[in-house]
Amino acid sequence: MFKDVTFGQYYPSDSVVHRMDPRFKLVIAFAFIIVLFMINSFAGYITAGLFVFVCVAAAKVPVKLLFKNIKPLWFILLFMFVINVFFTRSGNVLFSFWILKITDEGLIKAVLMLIRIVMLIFFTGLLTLTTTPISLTVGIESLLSPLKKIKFPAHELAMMMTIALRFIPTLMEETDKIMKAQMARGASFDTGNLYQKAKSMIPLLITLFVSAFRRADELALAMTARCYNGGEGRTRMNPLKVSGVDYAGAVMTVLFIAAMIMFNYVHVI
Amino acid sequence: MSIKVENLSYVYMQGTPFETVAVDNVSFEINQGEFVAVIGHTGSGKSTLIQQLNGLLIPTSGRVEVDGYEISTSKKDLKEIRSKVGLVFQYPEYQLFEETVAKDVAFGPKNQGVSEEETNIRVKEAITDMGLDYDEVAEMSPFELSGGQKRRVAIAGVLAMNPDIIVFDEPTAGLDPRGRELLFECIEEVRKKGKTIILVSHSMDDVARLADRILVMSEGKLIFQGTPAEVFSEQNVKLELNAPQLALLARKLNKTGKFNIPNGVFDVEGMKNVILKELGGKN
Ligand SMILES: Nc1ncnc2c1ncn2[C@@H]1O[C@H](COP(=O)(O)OP(=O)(O)O)[C@@H](O)[C@H]1O
Ligand SMILES: [Mg+2]
Repeated sequence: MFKDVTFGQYYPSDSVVHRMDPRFKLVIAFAFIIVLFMINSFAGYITAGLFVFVCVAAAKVPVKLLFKNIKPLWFILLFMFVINVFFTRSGNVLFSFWILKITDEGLIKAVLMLIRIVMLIFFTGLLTLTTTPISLTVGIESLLSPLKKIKFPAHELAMMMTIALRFIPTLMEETDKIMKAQMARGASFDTGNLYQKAKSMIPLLITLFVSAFRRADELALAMTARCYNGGEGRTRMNPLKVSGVDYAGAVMTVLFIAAMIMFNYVHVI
Repeated sequence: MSIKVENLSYVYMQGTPFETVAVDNVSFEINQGEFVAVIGHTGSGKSTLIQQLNGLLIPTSGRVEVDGYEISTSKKDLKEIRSKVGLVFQYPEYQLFEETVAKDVAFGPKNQGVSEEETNIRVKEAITDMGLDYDEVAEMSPFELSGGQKRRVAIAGVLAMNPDIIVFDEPTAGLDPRGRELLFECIEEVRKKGKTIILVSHSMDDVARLADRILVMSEGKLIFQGTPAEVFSEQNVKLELNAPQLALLARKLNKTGKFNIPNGVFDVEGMKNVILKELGGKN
């Protein structure tokens, strides 16, 4: 049933990008997204494309997986493309029909917009493909920790995320098991009308709730038994370590951003 | 009512980096009325194997035939097969959900479309067969029962479907010795009614004592099958099985040179008689 659903989309591999500190990856991804929306020259697009290409190549993830992220968004992409094509009125008219006019400027704008969005999806996809959900959480906690001074519950938030992530596969497995057990007793989840299907879910949901509460209870007990009392003074088993690849990535990103800013003022092409 | 398995393989998450071959080219047959045990280390593919016997998992390749019906994706055949082959999962007590024990046990027969009257008869019989007092537990909530009782209610839920073949996946895991003993007694009772039993278990003493035949799984492969005496014979030490206590006792006694205990005695009473006879013969 759920056997083919892998949660998150981490792609295990041993590349420099996989080995990077999650904080650096988060900050770089954030910076890239901002820069991406400031591009206003062809040189800028080419450089950004090159940057994405270098990152993807360094991460050693199959490009197929990156394209997979685009699939569910094709309708939105198409919609944005059409809007850009038809609602740009400036430039030379290439084609006109009734009240619709397609101009060269509109077409270029639409294509560039598409490229921008695709690069955005690629880059954020790269982040989740090369970083496990848990280390992303650790990274977010660490980046948010300065906010603890203003009583922002960074640790609690991260702990909740970690536990939720930890239990998603467990609950999926449990759902699978219970569905199988009920199917073995003659239940069917995929036949009948909508009402019958909804009704057949009730036994499943009851059982799942009971077990989720039981697990939560056991986990709370186990954590208390091991002296958990919040984030105060808690150390990490695998502390985040900044290494050479992180500095290299940071330097590359700074150079990239500098180039992008330069292209915005000095028009090369 | 026989089961025929030919070149069966099952692969989880095929085509992903997480691909696992859980069952690898397994073939065997199980005859009507047989008691067959499946043993092997955790992760050796036992659960995956038995879930294919009633079509909860559809084989990646190979065939499973139950009483002439082949397992495929045909919904009608699957329904037929699931009525014939009852499957008791590991920790079945976590699957109880109804308000009362009787209602929970009736879940299966109701799905089969059995009449109200017949359902009530079956529910009562199944609960009694599992060694519980029907009048006492029928109207209780399943959540009020003890762990061992819950488990027996869950098993009754499968028995009430009146399957010809019953598959148990580690039915005694997590039970105390007394609960284990009770449960095996119940399984023996069910067997006496002419049902075919397939039992996955780590309890070698019970397996050796109860089973007609044992299938040994390792890393997805069926590495050996035979009678308990054959499986736990000294020549098979290479299978790295935890031999039953009585087999170990026999080996140790034979090693002293003063005894010659034959292979395949797995019940305490039988072993006592053999030893007494050996001693008597010498005195
Ligand atoms: N739902 C699943 N998804 C992916 N792999 C699984 C799943 N269930 C079992 N496996 C893998 O298949 C192999 C056999 O497991 P299983 O049949 O449960 O063995 P056993 O019951 O003998 O302990 C193991 O390596 C296990 O990790
Ligand atoms: Mg198992």
